Amino acid sequence: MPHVGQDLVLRVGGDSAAGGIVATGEIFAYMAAWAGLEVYTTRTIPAEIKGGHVMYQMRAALEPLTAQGDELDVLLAYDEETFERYYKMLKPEGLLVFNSNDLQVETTGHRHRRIGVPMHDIAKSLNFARGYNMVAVGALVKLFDMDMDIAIQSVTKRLGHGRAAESLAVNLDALQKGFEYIEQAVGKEPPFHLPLPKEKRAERIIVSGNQALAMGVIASGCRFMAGYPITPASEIMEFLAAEFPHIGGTMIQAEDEIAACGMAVGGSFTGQRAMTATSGPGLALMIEMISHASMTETPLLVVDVQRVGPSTGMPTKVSQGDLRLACYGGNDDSPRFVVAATSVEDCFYIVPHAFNLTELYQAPVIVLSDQDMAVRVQTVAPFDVSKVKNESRLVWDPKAANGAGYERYVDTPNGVSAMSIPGQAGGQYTAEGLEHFPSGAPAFSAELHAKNMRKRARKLEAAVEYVEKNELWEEFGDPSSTIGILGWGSVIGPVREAVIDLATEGIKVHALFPKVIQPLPEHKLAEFLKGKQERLVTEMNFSGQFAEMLQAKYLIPFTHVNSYSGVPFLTSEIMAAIREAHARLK
Amino acid sequence: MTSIPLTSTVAPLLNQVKLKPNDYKSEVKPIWCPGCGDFGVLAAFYRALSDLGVSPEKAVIASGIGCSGRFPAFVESYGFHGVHGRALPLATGIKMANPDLMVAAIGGDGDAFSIGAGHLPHAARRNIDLTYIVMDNEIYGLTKGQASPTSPVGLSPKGAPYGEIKAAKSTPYGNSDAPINPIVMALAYGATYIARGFSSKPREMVELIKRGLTHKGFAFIQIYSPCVTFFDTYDHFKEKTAPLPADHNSRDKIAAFKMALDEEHLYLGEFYTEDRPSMAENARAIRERAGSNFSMDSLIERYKG
Ligand SMILES: Cc1ncc(C[n+]2csc(CCOP(=O)(O)OP(=O)(O)O)c2C)c(N)n1
Ligand code: SF4
Repeated sequence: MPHVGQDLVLRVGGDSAAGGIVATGEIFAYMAAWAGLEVYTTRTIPAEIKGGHVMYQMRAALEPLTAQGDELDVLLAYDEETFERYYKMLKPEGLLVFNSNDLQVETTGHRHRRIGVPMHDIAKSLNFARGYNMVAVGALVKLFDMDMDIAIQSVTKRLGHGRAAESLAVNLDALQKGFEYIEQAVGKEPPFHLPLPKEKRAERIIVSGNQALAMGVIASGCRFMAGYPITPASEIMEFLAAEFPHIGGTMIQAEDEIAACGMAVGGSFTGQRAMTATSGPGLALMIEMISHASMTETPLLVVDVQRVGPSTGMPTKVSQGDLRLACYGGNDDSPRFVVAATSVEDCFYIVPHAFNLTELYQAPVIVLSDQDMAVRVQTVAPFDVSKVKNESRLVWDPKAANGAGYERYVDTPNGVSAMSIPGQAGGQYTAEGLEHFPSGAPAFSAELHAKNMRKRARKLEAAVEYVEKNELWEEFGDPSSTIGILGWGSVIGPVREAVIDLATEGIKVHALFPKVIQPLPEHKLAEFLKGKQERLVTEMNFSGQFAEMLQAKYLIPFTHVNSYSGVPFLTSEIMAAIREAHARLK
Repeated sequence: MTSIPLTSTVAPLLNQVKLKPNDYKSEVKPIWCPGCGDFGVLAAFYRALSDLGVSPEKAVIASGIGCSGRFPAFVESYGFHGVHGRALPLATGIKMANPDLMVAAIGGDGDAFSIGAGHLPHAARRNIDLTYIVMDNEIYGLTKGQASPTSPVGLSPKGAPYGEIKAAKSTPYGNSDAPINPIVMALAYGATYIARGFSSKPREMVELIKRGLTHKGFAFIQIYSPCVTFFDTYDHFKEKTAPLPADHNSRDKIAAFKMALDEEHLYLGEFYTEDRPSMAENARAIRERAGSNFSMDSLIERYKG
């Protein structure tokens, strides 16, 4: 884990109407990644289609990164708003790079260094007014003492095809001009050195959480998806729309989330692995159908890329507010699994497990991701497909049945009964959303309903075995510590940094992040909680949804550590909460 | 009726078995009130499957909720009794995940034109290869007689413009909402097979259902199916329905609109048919265009520097 001086945080900001802000950040991030650095990005997108403030941040280091970084080394401000918003986050020795055509910076009262670049003037001199962001990239390349060859390669790779290819030459000119401007204005010795790797490092890919998740879907053998556009989940649908046709899969853009979920349930009924992906408001609409899948015992995978609510909330900001809806939303008890991806990398590896849960136990599974994890690109080790083990659902075998009549919902010790697939002779049945006899025929007796409620619930108990056997959690820190920190999803990143950084201060912490929230790994949790005097639960929601679940289950208090403003936790916020817990122990 | 080439994805599913209509009866006994129009539709459906020689294991029926929603359980085939209004999305998923199945969706007028009305346009424009049968009794049956989107204006517990009314408690002062016209709706949305039947006309119904099941693309069949318990419209429909004129050209959309808007007669028969690529065919074409050059390794490779 990098410490002060070993990493570099660059933030770029401006008005989205001007364009090129995200492109600047992205080109630079890809450049750093291709130069062999670990890269972790984060961005805010304005809710407006045109106009509105945009921010793109890149953190780069030699070691893997799990959080965005709390302070800035470099702030690239295209406009005044960016400067006003973020200059306080600049480290004292930090560097402000600004577009001196648009922004006059007061020279008094600020300690950091500043370099104005007349980006528009330079771009205009090339008859390429839009290219001012390329001028900025060129300036950064020199300021960071990076290799111009890598910069040229990266820009060519990004712009070198399609319509953009025509303007590649002029973009490269702008890049060169930005570089030269700094060379003359600052001199040969650049103020920053990226800690570039000395020898060749292990190969990395650079992906977003949504991309990783969609690749996990393909690796899981799923070939049927129905979706409805919603920020920030749409990318999953778009990704699969492009890739599925190559492999005989089908993606349907449905008329709404209810239809999308219904199509996925219908697809799964035919024996295929099927899924849908949405965000909070869409999940709310899907709940009736999810209950139906639970009742009819139809496998179904629903991805929820969480964003801030309630209602339409802040569509482009992060939250973990749908846990309660995911676990309990629905009429009456409708057992389903809830899985939480912890990182961009985990977005790939957790999906096959989620599919296995729904296929093995024939109950729906909701996979929780979040806006921040979904849209940020990050370097990770190339996915190892050989680690993916796809399990099959229990399919009715007419030969073994030996002429005995087929009963779809026959009771079994783990609640799972063999499923007949349309096309199988003799296995005809009606999947029934009403309470039903083992045959599937509607039935309303009190005894049968109670028995079936237990049958369906038993799957959750049975699935704990799968969760524990596959160790679907992350544990780190010092197991002997009396301070325990829990959480779920992407909060693990800043928590991990906080735990490591506090260890250097002599504060020991033990952390556990289950990747399956329903059912929880009971034995693992019991073992973790033993001897803990301080129990913190970190999550990005207002009421402490996971903390309340744990309190209700274990009947002991947990300290809620919440962030609900729509921006990811800072590592420093989590460190502060742990320090307080530590102080209480004394 | 004009004949159209039979290139539906269900063509290979025909003439597979020789079963009598009764062989398509499941062990579940219908719960419908004696005299309910839905019995007639069910009997016609059994006969259509028998005439077409469909193997029970190759047929799937999806439904929503309502008296109509119970339909799949009574048929010896695969079935999916869904939630209110969602028969079409379920059926779409089933058909697109396995185009080698013969898929039908069943709804009531409330199920299809109220809560589920948002799905009809999309099933039609996609031309998904399935048959949607809506049993229209112009009332909500299962919830005991409230006004439905096809109920006539003036429907109230005290009386109705036609038919014997024993409920309509949701419109105590008389229904003021104009009824929708399902055939006009289906025409406007672009369904490629549109027909109307009446549960008291079994032979005609069988033909329409068979044409629907073998049609390539989305077949929409409205069937007047009176509810004897809450809104008995048998006499009304007997009086008002009439076969489409012999010279009606079911390839002429304007003519179909005219026939559907006729206020004198409630025409029965095939209003409209059209040959258009089905959703499964389009999906196949997209796959061919995309090509099958794919590997997980090359996908991951794309994200390297
Ligand atoms: C979401 C939802 N809303 C309401 C209901 C209650 N409900 C059950 S059946 C029905 C209406 C059925 O009417 P129709 O579709 O005309 O079918 P019929 O019973 O007349 O065959 C309603 C409103 C429900 N089951 N689910
Ligand atoms: S209530 Fe009406 S629609 Fe329902 S079964 Fe009875 S007669 Fe048929």
